Amino acid sequence: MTKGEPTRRSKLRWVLGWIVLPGTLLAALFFAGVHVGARHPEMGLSRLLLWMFGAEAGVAASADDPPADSADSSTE
Amino acid sequence: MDDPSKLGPDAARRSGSSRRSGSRMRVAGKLTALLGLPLLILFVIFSAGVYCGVTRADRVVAFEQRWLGVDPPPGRLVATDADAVPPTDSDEPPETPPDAQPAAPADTQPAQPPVDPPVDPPIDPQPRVEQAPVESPPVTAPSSRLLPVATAPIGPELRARFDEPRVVRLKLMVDPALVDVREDWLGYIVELFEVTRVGFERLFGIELLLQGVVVWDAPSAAAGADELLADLATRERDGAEVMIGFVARAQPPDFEPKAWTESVTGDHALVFADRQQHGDRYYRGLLRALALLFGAEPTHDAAATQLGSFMSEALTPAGAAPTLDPENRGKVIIHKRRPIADSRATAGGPQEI
Repeated sequence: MTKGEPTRRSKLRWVLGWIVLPGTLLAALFFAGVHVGARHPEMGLSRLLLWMFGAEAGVAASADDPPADSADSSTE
Repeated sequence: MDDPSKLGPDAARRSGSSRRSGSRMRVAGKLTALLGLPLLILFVIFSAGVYCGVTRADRVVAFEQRWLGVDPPPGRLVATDADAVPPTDSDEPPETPPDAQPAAPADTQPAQPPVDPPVDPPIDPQPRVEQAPVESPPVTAPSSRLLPVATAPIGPELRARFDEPRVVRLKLMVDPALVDVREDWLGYIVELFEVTRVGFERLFGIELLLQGVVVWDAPSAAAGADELLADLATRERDGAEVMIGFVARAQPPDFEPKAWTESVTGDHALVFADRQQHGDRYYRGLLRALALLFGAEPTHDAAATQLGSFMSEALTPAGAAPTLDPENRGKVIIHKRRPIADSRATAGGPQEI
């Protein structure tokens, strides 16, 4: 059995089957996660992920902020 | 010796069964890998989405609310950019960088003609059922009521600290009594937040983000300030770092707000109605409460009082923009990058000064 050039239709099938459909499903899964995470920031998985990646619910630079010295409070 | 054919029939049976059990384990392992690996990949993709969602919760909810028509979660109303009140309007001077503004004494008296802010209705929890229809203020353009804080140019010694980025998310809990007496309570609270946000950016370079506005089903209408604070500290935060509770009654005379002058920024505070103020009853209190969390302190200094600093006991003249004394401004700028306390995790609670 010889392999010829794939026809346009088979290419389309390949793209649909391997790129578009899986990509859509994976994107849907990802955005479902975004939706869930945004609405339930206090759930266990959210807290676990924030803890794992060292973030604090989207807050920039709070945990690693260097505490300011309280002695230099005068501004005059 | 190990050849089963040379052993008895029992030994041969045992050897065969152990071989079968080993092959079963291999098959089970292959099946697990075959099913588990794709499931793991799917879980990782979903988790990545959850992480993105939780770190950008307000934007996602606002986006869904605005473009997809998805209602926000119950008890959580995120102010979108479209809902936010623009900081400037016809009653305010055009937006200029803080340094381009005149010096402090000139700022205390705004150049524009004073607006006539409608006085808030008296808020009294007891007879509020009768007062509710009467006290609903007329619907006006919200941004015409409140003026952002007047600021002076910042000194070079604080410029570097001022320019450091700082983002803090707030969740606002609103007394049901305030909801009862104001039909436009949500717009009012968003306006209040917006003008405070502008003020904090100008004063300290701190960006406040509104994580949510929630009606506060507080312990009871007669709860004391300490009970309210304790309740506020343990409330669900929905990703916010700082909880602010609006209380629709005057501050009890024996209540002393906590000062956060140590190594952390405060994470919760109460804002009481201030009936002595000529203008808005909560604006000055909100500025004061937030500044206290960031390290400012109440002042009795004559110069600060004369300036009308919102950290002093001076009353803000009607139609005038609030101001802050330079000393407290410097304290907040210096302390702005302190980590934020987590009163839920701290058994002993914040240190009271």
